[in-house]
Amino acid sequence: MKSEKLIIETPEKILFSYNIAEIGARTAAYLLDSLFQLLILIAFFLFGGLSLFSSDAFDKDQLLFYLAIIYILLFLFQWGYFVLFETVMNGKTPGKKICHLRVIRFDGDRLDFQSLVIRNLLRAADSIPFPYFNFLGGLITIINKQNRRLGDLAAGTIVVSDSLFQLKEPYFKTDLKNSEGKLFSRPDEKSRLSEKDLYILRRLINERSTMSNDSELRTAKLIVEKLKKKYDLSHVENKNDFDIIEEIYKAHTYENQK
Amino acid sequence: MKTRSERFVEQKRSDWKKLLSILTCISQKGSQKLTEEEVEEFPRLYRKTCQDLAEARMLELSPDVLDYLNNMTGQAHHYLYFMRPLTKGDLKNFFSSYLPGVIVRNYKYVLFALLLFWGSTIATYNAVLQSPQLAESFLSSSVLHYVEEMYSDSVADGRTTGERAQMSAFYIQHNTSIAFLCFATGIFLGLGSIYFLIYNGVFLGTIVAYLTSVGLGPHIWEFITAHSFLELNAIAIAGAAGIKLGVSILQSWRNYSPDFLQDSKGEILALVGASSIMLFLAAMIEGNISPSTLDYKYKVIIFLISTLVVLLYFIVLPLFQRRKNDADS
Repeated sequence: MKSEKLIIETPEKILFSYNIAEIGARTAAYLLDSLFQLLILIAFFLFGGLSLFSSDAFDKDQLLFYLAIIYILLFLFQWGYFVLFETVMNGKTPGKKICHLRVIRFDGDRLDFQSLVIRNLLRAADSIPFPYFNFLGGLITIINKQNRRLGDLAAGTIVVSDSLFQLKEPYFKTDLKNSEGKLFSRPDEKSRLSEKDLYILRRLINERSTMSNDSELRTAKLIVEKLKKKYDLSHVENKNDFDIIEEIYKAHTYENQK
Repeated sequence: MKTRSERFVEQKRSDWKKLLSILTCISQKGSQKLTEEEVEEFPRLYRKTCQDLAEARMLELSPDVLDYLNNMTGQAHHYLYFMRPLTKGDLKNFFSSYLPGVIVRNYKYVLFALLLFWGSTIATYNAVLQSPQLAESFLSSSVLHYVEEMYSDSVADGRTTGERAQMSAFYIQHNTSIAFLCFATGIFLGLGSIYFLIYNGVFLGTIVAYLTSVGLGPHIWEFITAHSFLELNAIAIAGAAGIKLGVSILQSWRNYSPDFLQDSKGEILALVGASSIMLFLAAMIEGNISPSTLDYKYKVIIFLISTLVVLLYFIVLPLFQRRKNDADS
């Protein structure tokens, strides 16, 4: 079983969770980063090549010297790209930023440089047995419960999805148009619906106009049947399912004064 | 007309809004753009939101409220505990005392790796020298023919600067990749590193013995002498880092620790760093001096100097520092 959440306990003894990044998003980020590496390299080739060929003193020796720089760049790119960006961008690379991913310490500690270097050096072990193809690394990431790569396991890091972009403020506005508030009075503490149930009712009310598909309506009907049983409303026949939901929801709300 | 969750949100939302605007500012413009007031407020707002999250959980409020607070806390935690930036002092300390001492501090791992690598090299060398047909069982005949071709002439002379630079660059890339592989496969409880140390030793021993047996011995010695000490021992040190990686993981299992490396991270990276620096120097020699027509005795001198420098920096300097520290305290 894959686990979707990573629970972190802060020094303040507060628990909160991060959504663990999915393999699809990580693959996309990796491909994007590879693309960026390639583009920067091509840009260098073009820029360097043009300036070489345009100069009069072009010779074979200069070309080889130029190849030497390309080799070194290739090498620096292969090993430095991820460490550099993850350090500067606090756990992100350009590809990760686009895919809303981020590297964090799995214990919630501050990210440190050493962890980042270790996690990226171990990319060498990912590409076994074929060079430049992350066969073993991919396999282990897929098997791992938390989608952690070999480098993540060694360095104590994990990739999570960045949640600021999905931060939605709770939405409470409900349009209770058909309820009269007469069906039944406010339930006592024991028979109250939980806030979680009310959340579901709220969503049903707000989405009633857009509900068209059968399975959605059937779910709504099931919920209403359960509610009817709970509140002994079997005698109510001539009312629409959603009207009953509205009545029950309304009975759970409080007036502003208290 | 409000549910409990809604009333809770209404009471507290002004602080959340402030925190959210700080987070948005950091993520979009960077933390330098925060006002002084915001910087002061940030930790307080974070703690407040933590409390609200705990309270909301206790009251079993609506899941969207819990999600919202959870994500906000996670984000605030992330930006509050930002990565510690590296300073110049870190760098200086690393090169002056941390890095030179790493071989001495981890002498068990380094000796073990050296033994594996040089043991398999010498054993293979002697075996192949005695019965040259063994070479074909270690390496494919195409590799052997290729190597024989490569060393059929004495070192080529008249290389241009460009050619030398290109060779150095190639060796940096090629040899460091071998060393990194030798290190990284140590994650398999050290077994990968042990395998690659032996593999590289067998490879080296076979080739030198094979070339000697076909009468090209002087050619290969002439080529490898100058850079051999740096390059070959660097591979062994990378292997030592890999073995330490594997052993640290085993130790973490024994301590039931989910964090595999804990305190050994710095030591392991310093070993890899030592290996990389030696490989860089080796590549410079291998590209410029080894293939040159310089008299053999100068290549031997370079070999001796590089050996001496490594021994001074990695063995003598740390022992000296240690004695000085002992005397001070």
